[in-house]
Amino acid sequence: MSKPSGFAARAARACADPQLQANLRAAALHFQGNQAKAFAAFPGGAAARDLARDVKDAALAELPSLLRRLEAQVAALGGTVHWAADAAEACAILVDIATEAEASTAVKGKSMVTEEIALNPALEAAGLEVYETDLAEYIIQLAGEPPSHIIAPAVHKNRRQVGELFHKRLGVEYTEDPTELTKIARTTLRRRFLRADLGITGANMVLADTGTLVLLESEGNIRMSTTAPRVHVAVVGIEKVLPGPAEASAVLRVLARSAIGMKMSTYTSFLAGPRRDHERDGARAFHLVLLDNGRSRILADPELRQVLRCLRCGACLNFCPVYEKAGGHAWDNPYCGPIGTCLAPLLGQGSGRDLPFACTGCGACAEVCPVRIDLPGVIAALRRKAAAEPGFGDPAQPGGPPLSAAAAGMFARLAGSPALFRGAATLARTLDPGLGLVSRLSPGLRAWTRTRKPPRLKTPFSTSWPALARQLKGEGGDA
Amino acid sequence: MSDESRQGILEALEAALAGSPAPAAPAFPAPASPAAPDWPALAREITGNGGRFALARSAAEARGALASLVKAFAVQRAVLWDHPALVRLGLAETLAAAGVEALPPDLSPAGFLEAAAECGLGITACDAVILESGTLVVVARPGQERATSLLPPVHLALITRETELLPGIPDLAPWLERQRDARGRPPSAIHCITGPSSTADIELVKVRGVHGPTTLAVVAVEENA
Repeated sequence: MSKPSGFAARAARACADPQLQANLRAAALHFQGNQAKAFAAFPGGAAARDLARDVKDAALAELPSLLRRLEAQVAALGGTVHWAADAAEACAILVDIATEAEASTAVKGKSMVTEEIALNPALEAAGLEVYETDLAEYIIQLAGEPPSHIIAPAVHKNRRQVGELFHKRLGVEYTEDPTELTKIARTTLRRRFLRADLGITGANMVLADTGTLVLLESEGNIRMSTTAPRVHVAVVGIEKVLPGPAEASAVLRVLARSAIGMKMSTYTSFLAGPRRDHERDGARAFHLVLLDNGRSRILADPELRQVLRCLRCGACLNFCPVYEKAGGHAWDNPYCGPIGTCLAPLLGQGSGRDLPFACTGCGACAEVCPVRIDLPGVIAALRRKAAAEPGFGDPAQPGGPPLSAAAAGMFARLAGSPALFRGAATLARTLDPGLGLVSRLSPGLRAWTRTRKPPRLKTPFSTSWPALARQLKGEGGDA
Repeated sequence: MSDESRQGILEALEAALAGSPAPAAPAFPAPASPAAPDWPALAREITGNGGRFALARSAAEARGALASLVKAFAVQRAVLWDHPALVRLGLAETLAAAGVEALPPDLSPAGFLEAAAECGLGITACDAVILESGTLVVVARPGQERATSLLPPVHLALITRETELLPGIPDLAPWLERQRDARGRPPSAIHCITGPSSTADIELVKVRGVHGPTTLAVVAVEENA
């Protein structure tokens, strides 16, 4: 399926970086609060999620016919549809489009799928100047770093780091005021937009009935990328196609609330083909690149298919305790957090076989997913698939499963016998309540405790419950 | 290369779906009945999104709102839609009286964007408004450019008697269907605008005015009152 990726080592480095830990904590509180408030004030929220799930499942079930209809409609509008089996083919198509259009500069609206196919290096190798224009994407492009969050790619950077970066790379006076920094980016990028030949975006949805792209954003970078340059190219995963406006509005109802806690994103754009006769702005030529890159494989597996419902809202990241500690870069993939754990091993060549083993199984991601993907269930399925592969559990392979087979076997023996388990637990509780000694002695447990805190073995709940129950009933107690 | 991939992808998808049980059909909610304008509720949504809202009880009040906006932002140039409501309200005359230069309506496409980028104010009508979210919907047509609501730092959007009031986000769907032309084509661009351009990309601090307008001013005009 895929290679392990060294998640544990990267996560350990992230945990040791106090600045990053503070940034991640602040981001989690911010996004969790916004999402929770949005859904608390949304009485039909549960039904709206059910509907969004059903809309996506129904579309996935008729994907081939939807894609054919989409292709015909885009062509009828004067656009061109391209099909890319993998990342390399998608990049080659983009390079061809740029060459044919005699383009020398490209501006990019924020897009995950172009990160997935590593488009920027491919275009730059072909001699194009490529500018990211979403503020966060611009920041990390200047810094030469990959994104660390689906909707807030520079969430790992603080204002001082951004201020120093702009000072160094743009030659502007140092400031760490977010308003001033945003103004600098606006001025610099405004010129790029107006002079760019090519505008490149992804899409949140594509509507088959009318050949329409649906694009969501807050800043206006996507509107600029599709309004100013003479050629617009949209790169879209094949799972993004829906029949029409009814399905689109069902998705819109939950998407912005889940991503940023707003009822609608600042800009939601419906774009259908190139500009028409007598219109004075908008691209004159439109290309749609439909990308598979592993998606048809995911569709073929009934256990995994639901992953294709994903709207890329980022809510699962914001509620994931592992993401909050490890940060997005630990995934070493454009897709991080719970959905990254599912997508990284399945898309393209596949990477990150160790990612599913970093999940605590807490289930918070499934609680907030707007299309009700059973992320813990999918992650468990990926663990089973990884364990069935040859070479699994080989300690020579970095990033393998954290428990050695011996330790797992020992635990299975203990857990299989309640008496034996109680005895061992009592012994450990008395001698070594923090499991410090045990983890030093057992290599399996040592690997386990490197990235996890072992539970403190104190009085078991079954022993303390009677006293606690009395206390809760207001009878007092001594527990 | 692409033809081969097209066939390969479609065949892989068909094979992937073969024998799968049909999923539940989505149960869409019944369409809501048309909304009567509840201006205070809409004002709450729009200001909650970071916009400004004013109700004009006559064309004269609408012109007054424009004049005070021009003064507050020291607007020197403006770009406005060629739209019957804007003509009826006499907004071009208001701009001229205030000494504001409006972009000529016959400006060539080649120079249009650069000129619009130099404007301090963009004026559009609204084709529809979503009351649930305070969202303004603008449709691109000849003379009604995309850039007018995007490039200038201030966007004035007018809710007029041509504007359809949609109660909720689901009601956008039938409205979108109605925008298709005789050949079944939707407009080239429909933009739903919910507040001024914004970002929270630096330390999650909300900053207004990234690539689009810093200020979104909405004036609802009750022309018959």
